[in-house]
Amino acid sequence: MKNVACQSASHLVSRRTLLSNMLAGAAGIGAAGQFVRPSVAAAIEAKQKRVLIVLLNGGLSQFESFDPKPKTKTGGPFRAIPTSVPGTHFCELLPHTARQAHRLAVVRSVFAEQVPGSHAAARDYVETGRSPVLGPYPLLGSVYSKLLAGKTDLPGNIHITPSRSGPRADAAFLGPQHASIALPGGAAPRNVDRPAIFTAEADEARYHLRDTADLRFSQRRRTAYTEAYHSSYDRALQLIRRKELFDVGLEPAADRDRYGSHDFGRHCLMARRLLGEGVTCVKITHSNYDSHMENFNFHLEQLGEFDRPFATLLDDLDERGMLDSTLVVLLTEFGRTPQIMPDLGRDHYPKSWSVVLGGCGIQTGGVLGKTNDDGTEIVDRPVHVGDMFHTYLRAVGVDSKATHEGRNQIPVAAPERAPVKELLA
Amino acid sequence: MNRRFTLLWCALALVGGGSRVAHGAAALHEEIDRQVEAKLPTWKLARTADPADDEEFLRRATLDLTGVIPTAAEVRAFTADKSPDKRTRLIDRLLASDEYARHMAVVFDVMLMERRPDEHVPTAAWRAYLADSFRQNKPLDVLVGELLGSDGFQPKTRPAAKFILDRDVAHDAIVRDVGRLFLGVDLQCAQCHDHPTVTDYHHAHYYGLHAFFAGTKLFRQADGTSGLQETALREVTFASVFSPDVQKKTGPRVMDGPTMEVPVYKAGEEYVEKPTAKVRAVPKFSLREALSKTLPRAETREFSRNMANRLWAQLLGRGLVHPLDMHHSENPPSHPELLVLLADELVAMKFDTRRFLREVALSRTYQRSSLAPAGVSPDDVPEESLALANFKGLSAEQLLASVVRATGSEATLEREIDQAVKETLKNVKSPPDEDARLKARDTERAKRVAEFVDLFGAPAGTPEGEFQASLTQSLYLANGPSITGWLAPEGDNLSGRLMKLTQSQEIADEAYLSVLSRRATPEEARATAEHLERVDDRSLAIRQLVWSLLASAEFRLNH
Repeated sequence: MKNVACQSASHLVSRRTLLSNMLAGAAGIGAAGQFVRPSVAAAIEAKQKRVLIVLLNGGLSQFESFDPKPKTKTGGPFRAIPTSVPGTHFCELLPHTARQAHRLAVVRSVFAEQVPGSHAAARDYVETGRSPVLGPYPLLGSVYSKLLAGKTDLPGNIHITPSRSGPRADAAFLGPQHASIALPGGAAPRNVDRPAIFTAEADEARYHLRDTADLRFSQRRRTAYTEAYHSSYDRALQLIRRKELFDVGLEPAADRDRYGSHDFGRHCLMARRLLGEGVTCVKITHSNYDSHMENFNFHLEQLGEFDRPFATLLDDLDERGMLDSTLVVLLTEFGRTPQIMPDLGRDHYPKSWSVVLGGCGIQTGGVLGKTNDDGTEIVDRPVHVGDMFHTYLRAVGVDSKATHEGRNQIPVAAPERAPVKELLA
Repeated sequence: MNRRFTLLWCALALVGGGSRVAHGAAALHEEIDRQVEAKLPTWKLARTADPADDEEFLRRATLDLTGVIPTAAEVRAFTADKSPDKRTRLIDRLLASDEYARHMAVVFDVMLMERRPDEHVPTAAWRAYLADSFRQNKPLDVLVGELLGSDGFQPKTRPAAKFILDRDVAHDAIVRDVGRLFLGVDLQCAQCHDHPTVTDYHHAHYYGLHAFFAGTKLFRQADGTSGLQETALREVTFASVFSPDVQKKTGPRVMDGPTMEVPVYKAGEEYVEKPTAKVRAVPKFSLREALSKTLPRAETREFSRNMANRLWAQLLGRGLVHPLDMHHSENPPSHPELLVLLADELVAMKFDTRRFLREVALSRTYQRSSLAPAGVSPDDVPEESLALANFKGLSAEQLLASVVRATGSEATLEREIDQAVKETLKNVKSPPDEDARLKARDTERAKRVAEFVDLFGAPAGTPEGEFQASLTQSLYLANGPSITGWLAPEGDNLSGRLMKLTQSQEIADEAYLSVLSRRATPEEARATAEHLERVDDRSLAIRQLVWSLLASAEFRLNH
């Protein structure tokens, strides 16, 4: 099941764009190699599949985004606008994303059973595809780190969080090497700076002493643990040497302007930078959509921040020929109630909501599933979050019906669920 | 089905056999060695590793039984002791120490609660209860009986109710963990259907255990105290997610054991007092209480086998059945007769933890070196053969305690905590009393432990697994402010002591004894001398040296 060929619709186009750019560059500068940035070149060569997860934290309203119900009693004040796919409409709060619709697949009929009221547990549900009372299971990013990341010096699972937050043990039984590396507020990972007392030279000298000690110790001893330990220092040192990887300020100023100076814009640019360098899975959390009051102002503000950078990132991934090898997953933990509450809020609604996919392995340009006119019920093709979880894996060629190696042979995804064939290219 | 019956029959036959020790046979530790060594040909092994030398043994036993590396002085004293029974005396001294009780409290807390956040019973009270239990060497069947039976309303046993209360009284979590932790069977996948890969685990097993807890609920007294109440139930119904329309029923039952007889009361007479919103539901026949008496006892073979396997794993680094919660026919024990023997002996000892650990620690098997004999490739010696000592990663708590001890930072740590307490209490308006100060100290100490636990412990709700090394961990050990601070020479801490020494041999010995609990080899002493020669700044050179030992695999592992 591995290495399913990615055949997204934009594949050929983007490759052609890139080629023509290269030719233009070659004509102008004289050598194609000088034009293509090394990291982009490396990404294309490697054909390594990557994943971008954008988590809209708090519960995005499907009404104010991908399943608008204008002029109904549940629809709220916003209009629906046409998208780049004839016949498909998004909420008017997403004008830029609407122009990307041909690169996306919208699922309007996602649901789960017995979704916990707590946001954290509901997020675990959508990111593991299983009810959190059964868990803990590894989150999607950790599964990719384990099953998709090849031999790379870079961390396989990076999480750009909106604020400074502690380490999150999200890899469960897959182990800490697959836990996400947090970039709190988009800053570099913790402890990536050398202590003041150690200059680069003095610092590397102590690693050398450490390595020598390990070498002596591992003579005639088992090597599995010592090698894993050694490699963790190797990777630490590589990251310390390459901490500019996390300096989004090194991206061209024009790009920084295109993405915007607010946090989510910077985080999207950071994601582009990391994916371009070959990081397997980058997750951005955008907070906060939990609009129990003032739902409409909330979404106006939040989606106003989200819309342009997200669309820009899709454009750039495509432009760089990366979209065909990068799965894009736009998630939220549950939907919001059709009913509009007295304070103009919408509460949590686990009976149906929307999830959007794009890029690698996804059949784009369509809408799957349908809710009724008021958006209270799914009327066509309900899709369980567990089925979505299978789909996220299958899209990049990971066999979601397999079991994890080792401990207890736990199925990679809920065994009673299956990938959504209509979504897969 | 037949095979299971046979196994059950064998198990029952053996329960009646009584203790080898009681029958005047060889001591348990000798029998352990005999069986382990007889089994070597299975793996085509001609011999075992040599016995661990004194330093390796001292470090291992001190870590396993008290949770921290020995001090340099202890290493010096132990290696200087020429008496032939010094290892036995060491084991006895460690087992009798208060550090043993406190270490076991941490080991059992982590094993039983798996680092869940506190809900009803604070960790401090729970650890104190566990430490007290191990201090008085409370038999394991009694301890587990208290964990299952306590309703949280009796002050003496309230902490024991943490096992159920702090799982939010969620039946699924309780049933799964009673299965895993007390019976050695992970029925997680059998919650919704028969286990997809383990044919021994059935949907009905899950619900048989579930029936004991299905009536248990949270009750809050008028004063806010939370505890347990119980609806009177006799059976539960369940259906597979694959065939939701087929409803099945089961009464309370431990695995394949008999279904428990539940006395029948007239409707309205099931309770001691008619339950209301204010009156706690206490059934005349409490299934949970019945389980607390039925599960942890000799007749429940799964229980004694599981506890023996878990105590064994604490010292040997892996269970005879491994993973610890996967006892089933397709995952047989590496040494089946030995597991039967250990379970029998644990029963014969009346679940005496100290005595059991003592016997295991006395064995040659436990006291083997992790160094392979010359000419043998260590990676060709399977871990389950026990022919070579298995590595164990230091737990988060062991690592913190050992880093502090190695760097001699006890005083620094206390001062840092004092400072933080002062900062916290500065903002309190009324003058803080002693109680508030102690509480603030506990909180600050817990914060420092939490820093390690977050990085080196398993995530909440999962068992501490095999040793793993992550990038985040090594970045913390390399650049984190705590450790960088403890490396700075100060007073009598390790770097401070090393700064006062002039001979490179002395420096090497003090550093190696303090951090790695052994003397430097001539080669290491020479390398240390060269390093000190090469780096002009002595303070920098010392920090580099100490860090390189702290960050070495030899320190990170219990070997």
